[in-house]
Amino acid sequence: MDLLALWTEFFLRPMLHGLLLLYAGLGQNFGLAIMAFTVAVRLIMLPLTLKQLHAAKAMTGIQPRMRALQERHKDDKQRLSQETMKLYKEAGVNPAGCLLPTLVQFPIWIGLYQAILQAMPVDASGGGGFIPTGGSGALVPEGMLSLASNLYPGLAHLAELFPLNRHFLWLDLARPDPSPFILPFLVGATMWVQQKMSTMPGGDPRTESTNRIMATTMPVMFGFFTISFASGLAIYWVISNIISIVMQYFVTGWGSLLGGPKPAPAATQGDLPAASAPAAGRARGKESPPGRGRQKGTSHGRSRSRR
Amino acid sequence: MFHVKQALLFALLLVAGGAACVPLALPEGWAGPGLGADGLYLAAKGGPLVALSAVDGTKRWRFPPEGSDRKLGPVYASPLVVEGIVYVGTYTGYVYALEAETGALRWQFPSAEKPAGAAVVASPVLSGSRLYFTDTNGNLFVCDAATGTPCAPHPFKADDGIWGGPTLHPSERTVYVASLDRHLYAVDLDTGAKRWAFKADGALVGRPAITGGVVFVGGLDRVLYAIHAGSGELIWRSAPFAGWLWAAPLATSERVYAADLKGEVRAFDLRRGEMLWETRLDADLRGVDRAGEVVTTPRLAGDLLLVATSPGRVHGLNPASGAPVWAQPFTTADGGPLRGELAVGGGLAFVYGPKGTLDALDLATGRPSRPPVHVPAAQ
Repeated sequence: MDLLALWTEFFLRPMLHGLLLLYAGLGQNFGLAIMAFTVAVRLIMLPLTLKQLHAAKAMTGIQPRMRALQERHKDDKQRLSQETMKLYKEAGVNPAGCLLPTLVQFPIWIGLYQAILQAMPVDASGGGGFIPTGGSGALVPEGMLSLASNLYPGLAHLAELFPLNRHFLWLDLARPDPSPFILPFLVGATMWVQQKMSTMPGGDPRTESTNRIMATTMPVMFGFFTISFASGLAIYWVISNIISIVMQYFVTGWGSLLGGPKPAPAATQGDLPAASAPAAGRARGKESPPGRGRQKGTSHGRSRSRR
Repeated sequence: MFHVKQALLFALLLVAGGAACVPLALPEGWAGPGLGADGLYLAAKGGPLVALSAVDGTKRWRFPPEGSDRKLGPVYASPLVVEGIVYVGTYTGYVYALEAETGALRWQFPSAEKPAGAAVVASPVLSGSRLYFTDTNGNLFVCDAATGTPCAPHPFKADDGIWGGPTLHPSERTVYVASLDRHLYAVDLDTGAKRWAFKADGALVGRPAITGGVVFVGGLDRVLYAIHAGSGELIWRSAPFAGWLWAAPLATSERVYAADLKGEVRAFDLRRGEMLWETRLDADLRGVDRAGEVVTTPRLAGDLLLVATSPGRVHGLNPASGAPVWAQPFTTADGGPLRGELAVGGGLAFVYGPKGTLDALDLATGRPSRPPVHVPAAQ
């Protein structure tokens, strides 16, 4: 069995059937099915997501000490590496803890995306083959045959559902939003909020600057994509973003969305007790605004600048 | 440094990248050859339409001609060749009438100054001076075969697409169409008015077949229906097949044959609906992609029932028993899937493969009667 067959067997087909069963159970409303399926998949991934958010939060907490180490050992890479690992150990932080859960989620996200496209095999011939834009929006015979080959024999009665009802509110779920700004705005706005909330204070100025740029460009970019994406996929993005916002809120609060704390200063290793490391209150000799943007579960320690 | 935000952004980009790898549903077409008195007419994948000599396979003309800005687009149905005219419908929403001798364009529908219609998936049908064809918006059009002028101001319209094309019953002045809206419609041939509609349990894809006052149609619910042609009453329905019934059934004066997407072929008694035999195609092709998938209508050629499966294999069956007489040797050389209709004539079955190879199989043996002709899909 090749890689593509494995992928189809273990990700695409189960997801496709999950989507179709929800469609059947929700009054043959594909919009509701996409929403319910997105929520269900995100709930299944909740432990991983929470682990990732907590790991990210912990990483943010030791940023001042990391920067101090980098300053101190900037000419000795080996020592820096040793000290960094020591810091991770002291703080009980695993740097892979942020990325690993996210990586594990990738196949699920891609599978969900593919399942939606597979269930609505419409003509996208004008989009260059990558983005489902253009084309007539009519069902494509090849796509329907591909769908038929992916249905489980034991659930053959699902075939009676086809072709799916593509209408939801004002949308044809296989076509872009005809308005054409409501869904692009919702995708962009929810992504922006989510990005802002996930921006944690305490990074170095360059990182902060990059984050600011990304927090603006990514929502704009995805909002722009949504103008030409099938609206069913845009619904997936909006619901997924909203779920991320809720999860983020319960782990880190509003983050930078409501004017979070200023970047934390670099600190010497010996100056900061591990518990008080996150989001130090004094930034390079300047007082941080009192009572502003306090993070849930974090404490504002005070530290001296290296000067 | 790992950071949740970068990780999430990376995730979003990867999802977008993964999405780029998704095989989107892109229409390519799979038309089989059309057989005329003076040659074969092939719609290569993505166009053009090519006319070949039936004698030696040499190319006679192509449409659109070399250097033309016009593109034919995907074609799913074999061209119809009648009285020196080639009619072909395209997924880009046009029906063209071309002179079989020269390839000159007689007319197109809609005309050049009008926007393209919805996709045409099935072959047109000619009756007298009128041409009947359907589209994926559910329209049944009737136009003058000589000029392409619509004969009715408003076509009959189903609630969803019609992929199977019309079936005419001229003596009853009725045309039958099956729609993805799950209905089989009987429509007055002259006025376009609906006479009756029969509702199936699933979408109906294939063209209906009619014989002896009974209309047969199969659908995605895996059931073959026998409907009274005059009243629309159900006469019998088959037990579910293993897969979707995509290909149109084949009806003779005594039997009706149907094949599904899983390789099941069944023969039924026309009147009682009793199953006479059943066989499974490509059962030996374990692990081969789309083994047994039958998209094309079975054909009767003398004492043979011909059924083509997507992996690129043509089966010759005994129509009385379903026993295999021969099976074209399986080869992946042509790349599959083979979904175009077979053209039968002169003791040969013409098979046009997806990579542009036209084979002529000897009906007696199933072996190629001559080296294949290559008709590339280049536009």
